[in-house]
Amino acid sequence: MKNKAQPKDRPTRDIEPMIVKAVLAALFVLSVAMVLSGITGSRSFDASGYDQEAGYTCIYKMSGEVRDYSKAHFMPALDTLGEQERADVSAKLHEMMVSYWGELSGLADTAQAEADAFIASLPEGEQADAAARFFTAAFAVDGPKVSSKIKKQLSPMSDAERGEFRKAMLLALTDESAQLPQAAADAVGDAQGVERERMLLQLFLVSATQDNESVPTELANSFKKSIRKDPARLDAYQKTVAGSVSWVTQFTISASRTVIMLGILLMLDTVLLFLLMLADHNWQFDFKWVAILLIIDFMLLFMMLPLLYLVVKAFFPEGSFTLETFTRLYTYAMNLDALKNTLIAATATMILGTLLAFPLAWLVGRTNLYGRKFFRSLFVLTYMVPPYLGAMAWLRLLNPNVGTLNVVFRTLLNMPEGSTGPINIYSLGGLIWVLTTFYYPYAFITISRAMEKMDPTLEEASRISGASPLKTLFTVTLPMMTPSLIAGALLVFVCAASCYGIPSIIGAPGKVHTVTTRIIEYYGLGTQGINDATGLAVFLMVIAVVVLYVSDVVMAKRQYITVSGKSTRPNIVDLGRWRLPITLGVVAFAVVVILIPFATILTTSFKVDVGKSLFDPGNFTIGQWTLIFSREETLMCLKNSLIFGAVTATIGIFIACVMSYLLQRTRIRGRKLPDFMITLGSGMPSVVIALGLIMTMKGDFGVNIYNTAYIMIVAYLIKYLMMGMRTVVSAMSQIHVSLEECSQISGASWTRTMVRITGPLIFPSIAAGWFLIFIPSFYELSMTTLLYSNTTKTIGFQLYEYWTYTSQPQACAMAFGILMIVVALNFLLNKLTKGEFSI
Amino acid sequence: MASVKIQGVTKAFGSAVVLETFDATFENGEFVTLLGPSGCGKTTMLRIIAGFEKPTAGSVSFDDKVVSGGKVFLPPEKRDIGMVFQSYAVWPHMTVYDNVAYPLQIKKVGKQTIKQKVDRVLAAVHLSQYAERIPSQLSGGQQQRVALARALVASPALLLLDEPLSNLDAKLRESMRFEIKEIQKDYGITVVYVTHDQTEAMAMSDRIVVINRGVIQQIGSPKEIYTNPSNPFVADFVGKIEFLEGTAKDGVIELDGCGQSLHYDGALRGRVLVGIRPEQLQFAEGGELHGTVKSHFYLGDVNDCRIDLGGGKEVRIIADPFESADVKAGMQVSLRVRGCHVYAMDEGAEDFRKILT
Repeated sequence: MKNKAQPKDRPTRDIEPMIVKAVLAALFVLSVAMVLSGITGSRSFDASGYDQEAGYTCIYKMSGEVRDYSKAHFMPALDTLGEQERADVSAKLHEMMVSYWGELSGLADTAQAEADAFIASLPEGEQADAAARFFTAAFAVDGPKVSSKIKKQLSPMSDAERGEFRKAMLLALTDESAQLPQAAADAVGDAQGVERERMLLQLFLVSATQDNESVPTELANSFKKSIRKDPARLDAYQKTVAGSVSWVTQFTISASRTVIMLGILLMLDTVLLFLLMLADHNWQFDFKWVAILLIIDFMLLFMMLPLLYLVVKAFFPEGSFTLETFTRLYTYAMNLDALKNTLIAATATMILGTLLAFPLAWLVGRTNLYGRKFFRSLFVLTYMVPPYLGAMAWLRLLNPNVGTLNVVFRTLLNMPEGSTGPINIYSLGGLIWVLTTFYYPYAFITISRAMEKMDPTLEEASRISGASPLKTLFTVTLPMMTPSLIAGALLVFVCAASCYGIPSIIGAPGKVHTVTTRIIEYYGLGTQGINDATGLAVFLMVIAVVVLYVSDVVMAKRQYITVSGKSTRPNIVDLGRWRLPITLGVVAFAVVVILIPFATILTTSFKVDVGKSLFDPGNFTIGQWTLIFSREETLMCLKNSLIFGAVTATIGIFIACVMSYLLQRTRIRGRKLPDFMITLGSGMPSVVIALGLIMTMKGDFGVNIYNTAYIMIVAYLIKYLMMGMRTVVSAMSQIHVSLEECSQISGASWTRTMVRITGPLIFPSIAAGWFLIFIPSFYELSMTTLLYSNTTKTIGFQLYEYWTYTSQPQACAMAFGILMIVVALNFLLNKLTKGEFSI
Repeated sequence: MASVKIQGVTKAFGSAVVLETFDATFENGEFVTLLGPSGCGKTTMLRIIAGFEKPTAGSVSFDDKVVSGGKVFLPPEKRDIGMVFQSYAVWPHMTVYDNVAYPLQIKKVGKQTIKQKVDRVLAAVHLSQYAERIPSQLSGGQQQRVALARALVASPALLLLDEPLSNLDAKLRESMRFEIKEIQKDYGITVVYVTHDQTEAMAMSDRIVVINRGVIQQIGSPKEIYTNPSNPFVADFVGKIEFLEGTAKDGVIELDGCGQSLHYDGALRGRVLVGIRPEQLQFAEGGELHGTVKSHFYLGDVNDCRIDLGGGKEVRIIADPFESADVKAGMQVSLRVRGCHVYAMDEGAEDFRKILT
């Protein structure tokens, strides 16, 4: 199309190039500083012997808590004593501290000197209550346990009683024969010496308030978890008492990885911005770059980093280069089989799928087939159905023992009672068949879109030159379709090769392994397994990248301009006397590929025993349905799926709109970069994306979203964002920029134009784009299998669990439920966009 | 080589009738133009001739052999026609040579002959040096000539052209007009040409079929159409004209509003519509019409003036610049009427008005 948007020359305030350059330099310096401080933080963490960076946050917080406690509860209690008593108690505390110090450091001899030196190093005013603060911290984290029974006795005390009790505790420290209050006596029991003293001190500490904690238990617990070893703890207590961990220190250390990551991103952004401005020869900052850079950052962090990590991990499993992973993987017969199966299945599916899709697209788009509109929606609808659903249905139909169709065939072929077959779905052939029936719509959609867009006069010119409709099909239509045909075929190939749901359901029982099922099996096998999983994932990744590249080259090289200026109806070929027979053929195809599987799912969901007919007495139940609607876990999974899908779709469509605007309405430099990354991300096999995310999002790279809903939403976004984006981009390209210019000429601001003109015009596409992201995210399985946690299970995964471990009829009920939701959403979309869109 | 006979062809898409009883015969070797505003049905007629549409009723015959009509329908590829599309429809996946050779390959002509014929026709359209290019490397005018060469290469009996020049710029359009006409003469081929550009139609055609709203308004040579338009629509669509209403009496037409009258010796009586073309008027002392110069535009070769006849009635005169050198706005002038077109205003008169606007 020629109607490319012209660059908008929106007035930009001129800023001195020198200032812009200075700001860039400052940003660069800042990013370097962030990286360096992050590295420093990381180093000092490594040197500290703490277990988690969060330890520094604990110290920082603890420091404040013990200071408050000392002021409010420790020192006042000490003040209630007489002068001599106070001196004795203080000395006792000091002595206790030294002995505790010795225990932690493991060097009792030097403890005295070290502790004295430490206290001496504190500022003058801080020395008096150093021991108090030391024990407040130490005993909160690791002091003697006060049982909850004792605590119950302590809680109801009045303030006066409390004061008395605490005073008694302090005095008892220096007087071994002192009479103890009942609660204390219970707690101390027959402990002697140090043990007794410590318990008394602990009782003193916890009895300060009604809730029996000197510092918040939660803080104490995470302190305990972050700093496990004794010497490190001693170091931590010193830092707590000295208050030597400032807010900045704790932040740069406990967030050091995040700071490094942010620093690196900022650095990349700055460099990119510099290059963009350099290429522009105009040192002006454009705010659109912020949007571009933010999207790039997102993709760098959540897509490029995981993928790179997978590659690195595959070649450097233990930090040094080795091909050991690959040789081990690819010499193992089962893996070789999996590779072979994947390639054969994907190739066969590609060929069969395209062979089905092209004639169907042609019949539906370009001939007077009866009910062509209906068939079109029907074939496209399959695209929106989760593929594992097909696997389930075909398994019920073609199970070698009890498959419904097999039973029918056996009767027809008069096969002896008790024999199996004739068709075994648990085979490579079965896998190919199910893959084909569920992935041909991908090719169908690509091809029929191209077919509808083709200028019909190109075919008419052939007819008038003397070519028959069939000859025209082969000499003009088909060659013109080649790029779309190849693109569609490659899409089917990649989808089939990276599909997990179908092979896991069909392949696993028949020992037909594919790369995806192997990856997920390996993933469950610990560290070595994860290394192996990455090796296989890299194989899938290479396939995907090669296919993306090839399809890009093909589409770019042979992008014929076949869209005519004049709006013409597509040329309808009269099938003549073949019209009815061909229509019947298409009906038969639809029945076999769509109606029978869906009907099987529905009938199975009402069965008690899946092996028997639905009409056998007592085999009909609606129990599965009432169960899935009442079981809390299922409802939670459904809720999760709806939420994740909606959040993904909403974020995704927002990014899609921004990208569409940048791509279609601006000439800003660098706008193609996020587009490229989004395309690359969506081209990656789901299993690869999920595996990469798992391995990089555990906090090692500054982001920890492992086992959360975020990691699933991020994964869905990377995989499905492009679907929404393409829809909005193509809608925007159809709107001539003059419509917007006219609004601006009429005095409307940019915002008003977007809201009043562009928005309403592309609204149907925005809605369609939203659903295109929502629906696959809603029933996603491959990524969820790797990413779920107990609280983030989705309906797709629940269904898979039920299918595999619990009850096939229940899984079928869920599957049909999902199907109904998808169909209902499709209907809603159709209404919402006034019939312009349905998927 | 072929004559085209169209008998009572009508075409409806659903309930929308786009052609109404179309009757016309195009003689062998004739250059016929279907002329009309957009949406008038001219392209539909062309596509019926080509065989891309079936007529709802009526028939089309080539040399007295029915190709569309009744039970008979000859598909386009069997009709031996050349056609140039508005969008050119040059196949982007083939070279210029392959595009042009295609009709011959379909006819299973020998390789040698194909080469000769393609070379000849490419030479005729001045594209010999572009034979191996692919269409996207060509300009619009060159693509148009590829389409023309492809249409001509198999020496069809009939050449159909669907607004082939509308996507070209003005200069190129004029030279292509000339080239198409030349080629038609050389090949002695029957041409049916569709356009909405009356100048194009006038310049190229042997006969013009003026169509409006699916109805043939007039068939005739360019001169007949121009000098003797059969109704106000034709008069208005072909050339410039101003209409005045009046009442015809014996020997005179009294014009409404301005109190002036014209000499008239036609047969009509009663309410009439008088159409006067700007070139039919002349500044002359003692002319029939009198008025004030309302505006004038000096265009170099002509002086384009509007004369207020009084009562809000106006006529336009395109005068010789030498004869009207001293004309100025506000001047009182008299005009000689060298001819005019008079139509009866019957019940359907309002329709004329509608057509005109």
